[in-house]
Amino acid sequence: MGRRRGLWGDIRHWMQRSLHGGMTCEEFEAALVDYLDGGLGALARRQVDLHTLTCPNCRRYLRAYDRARKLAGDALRHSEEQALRAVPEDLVQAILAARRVQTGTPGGPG
Amino acid sequence: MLAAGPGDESVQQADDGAGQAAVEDEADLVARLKAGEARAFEQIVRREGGRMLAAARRLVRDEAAAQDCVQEAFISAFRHIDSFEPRASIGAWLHRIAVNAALMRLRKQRRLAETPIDDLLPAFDAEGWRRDDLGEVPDDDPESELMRRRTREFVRAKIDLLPDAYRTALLLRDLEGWSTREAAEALGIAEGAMKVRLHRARAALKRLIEPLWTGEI
Repeated sequence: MGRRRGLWGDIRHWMQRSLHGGMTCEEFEAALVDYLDGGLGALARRQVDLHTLTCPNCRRYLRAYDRARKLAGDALRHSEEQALRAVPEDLVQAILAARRVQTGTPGGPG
Repeated sequence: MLAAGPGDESVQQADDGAGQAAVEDEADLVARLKAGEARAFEQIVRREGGRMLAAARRLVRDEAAAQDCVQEAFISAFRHIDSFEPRASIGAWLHRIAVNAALMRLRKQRRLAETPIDDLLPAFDAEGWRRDDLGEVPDDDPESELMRRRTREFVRAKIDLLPDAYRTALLLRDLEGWSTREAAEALGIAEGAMKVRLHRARAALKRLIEPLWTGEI
């Protein structure tokens, strides 16, 4: 559905958009994945940079978003490291038994 | 810049030697697997099983199902060991097979459909401007190991609150390090949809862990 703002509303919106790097906060939000991946073209990247400079809310949002992303990576990697220490022995034996069935080799080690 | 000391060259040679030995061990292990040597299979299961299990566990969130995924992954890998080409390490190859087995299970169980999480996403007015007035995020990370551990536990608990579709997107991109294209292919969705899903996952997680920097915990 179109947004009805009238002529002055359009002018105000256009000016506000121009003052914020040529994008709204919603457009900024939609560009974040590509921005953080380095997947934006030079112009789009510059727009995001300008929006970040001129919109304090989006600047704070980007910091929090990036921080959350890094905290998630750190928390998950750490739990993986802890989990690496042991493979349940019954799982090892089940896999080796399944392989013996697969290849038709008799049981027993070696 | 510091000048290299007389001991540095021998340390470098020792590092190179250890690296070379690891490459030779890996090549030897792959050769023994391809030759069907039983001890090599046991060696690789013990060496890589834990990492594969951790990845599967994180995705399917059920111990028995995660172990099934790892078993399926090894059996599939053993069947196709002749086609393994050492462009990547055998560990990375096995890990990917285990992740794919877990994703397949989630897809079969229809757990990857997107569910609404609008309450956790940012709100915009009709013009596209942000509604929320956001607070500052402090620069500093927790200093003590105890606080870091609590932070990790808190974040992990919040990740577990995300619906499977979003949690999976987050895991594949921000933990497994898959590209958007790889993750989209594995999930059977378009690349654009994958980006939206990832963004929503990160945005929702940001909302869930905000108490960390607003001092509410």
